[in-house]
Amino acid sequence: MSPEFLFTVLLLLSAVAGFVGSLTGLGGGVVLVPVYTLVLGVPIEYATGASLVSTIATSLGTSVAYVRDRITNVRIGMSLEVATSLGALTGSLAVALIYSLGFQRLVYVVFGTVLLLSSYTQMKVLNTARRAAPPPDRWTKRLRLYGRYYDALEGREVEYYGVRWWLGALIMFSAGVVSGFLGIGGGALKVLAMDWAMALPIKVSTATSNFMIGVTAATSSAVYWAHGYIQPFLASATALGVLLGAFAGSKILPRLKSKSVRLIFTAILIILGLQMILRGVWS
Amino acid sequence: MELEDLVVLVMRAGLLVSVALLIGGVLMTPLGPAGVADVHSPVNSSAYPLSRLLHTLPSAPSAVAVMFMGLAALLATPLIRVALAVLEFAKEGDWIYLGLTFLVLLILLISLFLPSIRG
Repeated sequence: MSPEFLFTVLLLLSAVAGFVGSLTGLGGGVVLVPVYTLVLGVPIEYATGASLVSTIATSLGTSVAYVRDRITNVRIGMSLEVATSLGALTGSLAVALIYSLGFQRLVYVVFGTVLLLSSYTQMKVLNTARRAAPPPDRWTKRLRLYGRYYDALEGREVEYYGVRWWLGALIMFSAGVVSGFLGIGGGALKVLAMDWAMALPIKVSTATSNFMIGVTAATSSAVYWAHGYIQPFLASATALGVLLGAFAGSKILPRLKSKSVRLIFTAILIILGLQMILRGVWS
Repeated sequence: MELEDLVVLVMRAGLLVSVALLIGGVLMTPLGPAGVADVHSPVNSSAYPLSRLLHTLPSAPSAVAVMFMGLAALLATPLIRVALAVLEFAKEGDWIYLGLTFLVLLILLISLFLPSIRG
């Protein structure tokens, strides 16, 4: 394969992955790693390395607008980055140990399982109905987990506060572990931590999760770097492609009729998940 | 300047620099060295430790070097953003958040200087 041809293939595949990732909210890596390993035959170390680096680019590129518009809660995000980066360090070191022992197949199986679990969350349509928020607790006051943002859809300023920081941080730690282990952003778990555990508004949760992915992925990328999982050409082409795809996705997202699209994505996730597990078990 | 505006500035600049370097490096790939544009290529980050990147790169301005600089810029951007937050919280005298962001910075630095696991 000539460099030009390989670049075109990588750019196209990663742009599609970035596009799908941005529409589903799962991020590019979830589709990218299976496609790279199963279709292109990329070693899983290089595939996850390229994916991880591309999540930093996507986080930087797509979270700027939300930070500028103050939908991202930078303060809450930073308070939780301790947990995600510690998790990322743990996850990336664990996977490096597994690779060094030659248990690559285990990573395929774990990846496949995570894909199947993500497909389940995709099927459950997000419950956007207002929940009764628990009263502020001691964490709310101590860490000052308050915020406000302008909701364009409702046409008014929304005030909110976060609770149960410890539970959020605990889930954030596992989000970091998953991210470092599999080379993905782990956005779904981060949103779960803020939306479900800390009772923050969904818009704030997704925007803040996106913002945090950069720091999480930078931590594990450094570990991947030292272990040689980052192949420059593959990682560069992938970062550029995923970034392009994610931008395109974010432009289309507001005008999307999501029900049928979500169903197709769910089917794709299930197929890829099963393939990854099969590959891990029988390769 | 509010912390949010500072964060936006850092993220914009970091992304711009790294994307420019990544595109530049990819464009230089056909000039060599050969074997980089291959999914099984043995050329990878293990030969270019981040902690010594500034020493190893400028002497060898190749496609690989430029791409690694772009990737390093990508990694450095969140680090700079955290470091600036540490300074900002120190200036505000916000001790809890100073501690939290300082811990994040510490974890990031540890990950940068950690040696690799050999099997």
